[in-house]
Amino acid sequence: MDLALALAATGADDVSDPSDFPESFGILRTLDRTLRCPICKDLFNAPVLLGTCGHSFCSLCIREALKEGEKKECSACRVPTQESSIKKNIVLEESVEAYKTARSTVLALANDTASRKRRREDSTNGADLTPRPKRVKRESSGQDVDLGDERLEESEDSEVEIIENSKAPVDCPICDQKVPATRINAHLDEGCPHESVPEDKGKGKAQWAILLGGPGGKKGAKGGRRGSGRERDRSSSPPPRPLAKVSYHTLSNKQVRGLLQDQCLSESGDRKQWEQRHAQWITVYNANLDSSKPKSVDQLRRDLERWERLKARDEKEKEARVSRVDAKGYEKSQDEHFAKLIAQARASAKGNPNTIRQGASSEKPIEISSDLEMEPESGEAAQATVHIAL
Amino acid sequence: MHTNPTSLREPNSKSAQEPASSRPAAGSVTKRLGNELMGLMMSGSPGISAFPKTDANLFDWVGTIEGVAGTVYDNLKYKISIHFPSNYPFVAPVIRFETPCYHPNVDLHGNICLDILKDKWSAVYSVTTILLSLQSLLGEPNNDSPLNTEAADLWNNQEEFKEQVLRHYQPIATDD
Ligand SMILES: [Zn+2]
Ligand SMILES: [Zn+2]
Ligand SMILES: [Zn+2]
Repeated sequence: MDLALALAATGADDVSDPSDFPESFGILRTLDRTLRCPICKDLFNAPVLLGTCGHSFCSLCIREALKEGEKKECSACRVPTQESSIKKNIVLEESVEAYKTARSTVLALANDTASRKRRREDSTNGADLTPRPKRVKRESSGQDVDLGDERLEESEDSEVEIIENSKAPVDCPICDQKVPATRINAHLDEGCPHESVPEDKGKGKAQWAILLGGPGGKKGAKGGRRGSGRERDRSSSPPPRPLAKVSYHTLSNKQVRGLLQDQCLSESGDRKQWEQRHAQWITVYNANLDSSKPKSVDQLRRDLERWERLKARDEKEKEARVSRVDAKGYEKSQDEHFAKLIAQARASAKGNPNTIRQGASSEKPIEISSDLEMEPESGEAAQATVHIAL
Repeated sequence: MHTNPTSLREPNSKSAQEPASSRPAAGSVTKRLGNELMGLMMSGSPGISAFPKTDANLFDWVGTIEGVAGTVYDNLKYKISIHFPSNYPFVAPVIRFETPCYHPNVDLHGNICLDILKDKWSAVYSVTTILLSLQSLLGEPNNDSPLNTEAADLWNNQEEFKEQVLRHYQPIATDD
């Protein structure tokens, strides 16, 4: 039933989702959702703000959207905009980075609490249960419970309970060591030294205190994690300038090659590929400038090569579809975790009458004319495509 | 319109300096599709579903849409195909009805006229958004820009329209 949990268990956890959190922690799902880019649905990566409307996206996401889209407009609200309105959203980046660090801890605590709650509700008189006279019992009704209210009623009680029941320290998101929750910020700042987990009876309380903004959390909130400011101190050299957009149609072949040479980019392929490669380079390069932890230019070049490979693969695949060659040989290589994901989702979808099962694919192959293969360049062209199909 | 990939450098050659563990660049279509699949599975929206056709090809999905009660499509289940371009979500997926659908905005080949799949597409939309839009399009056609003019003309006569809908409809084959 719970796909997200199943995924986490198989290790295919780089696809994360607000629903990773138990249903009873609706507010954590909401928090998780608000820190995600509306375009890639992932946690913000180098977030930027559009000065024209105030919406935020990953720098790369909105730059791609402005490059690929027919109109220069905000993807969320359609207010007209342009690259020059893209501004770094520093506070959001700090929030997201802090959240990324805390997420696995929060998730572990939430799951822990949810399962303990279930267990307690299942066994009325378990041996490990100390009577809790003031405890307000909640039915796990399957709908989101507003923990905000629950916390007011129960926060004290929850803390007490965890002190006595939680033996689990926190997994460091970087080095996977078990680290006392009280030390996790310091541990990260010190660059993951070896930790010996002390028998700290009060650690559960500290875990919750961090989440609830109590005394244990002060240090983190004050910006202990931001100690990474060391790496950020780039005041010594002036910040690199963004690359300017180019109107390729005014340039000769030689000039376009010159642009590629200036950026140490490959000159393989035809003129169209040069232009696409260069335009994509400008996009990823400028997006990288918006990150406080920018990738090396070498890494960006490798990303660009990867981008071209994916694009080439997609176009090859399109040709295969047009000539109706079986797509069996389609490369599986880099998508293995996705296959796992599909398997999990299929398993969890069993018995759901709304879901098409794999068997459905054995029906007649879908034929798509080459006309339909093309993406609509404009509304008009799209209309035309539709009318002349097949 | 599309460039010919044959003139590209061998796309499959793994460059030696590429670290084996490195993931696709941020905004990778693969990851986004994974997120969408998860979102779709977890949202449990009634009457819609979608899934990759095969494990090997993430870019082709099959979906279903059920007509909403109170419309002429009540109780009818339509199969659709979804193809994602490599620059998805910056470009809309290509969607077609695979089950014959008698509808003012669907032609005889299953092609759909829906603004959010054309000029009104936005990168923030998802498969879920599209399926829900198609579901509501069934009951609320846009008769101003019909692909099937006969259906558009007949819309005001709901009884006869429903007859046509049922005449064209073919239940999704339940194999096995
Ligand atoms: Zn994004
Ligand atoms: Zn906006
Ligand atoms: Zn560590």
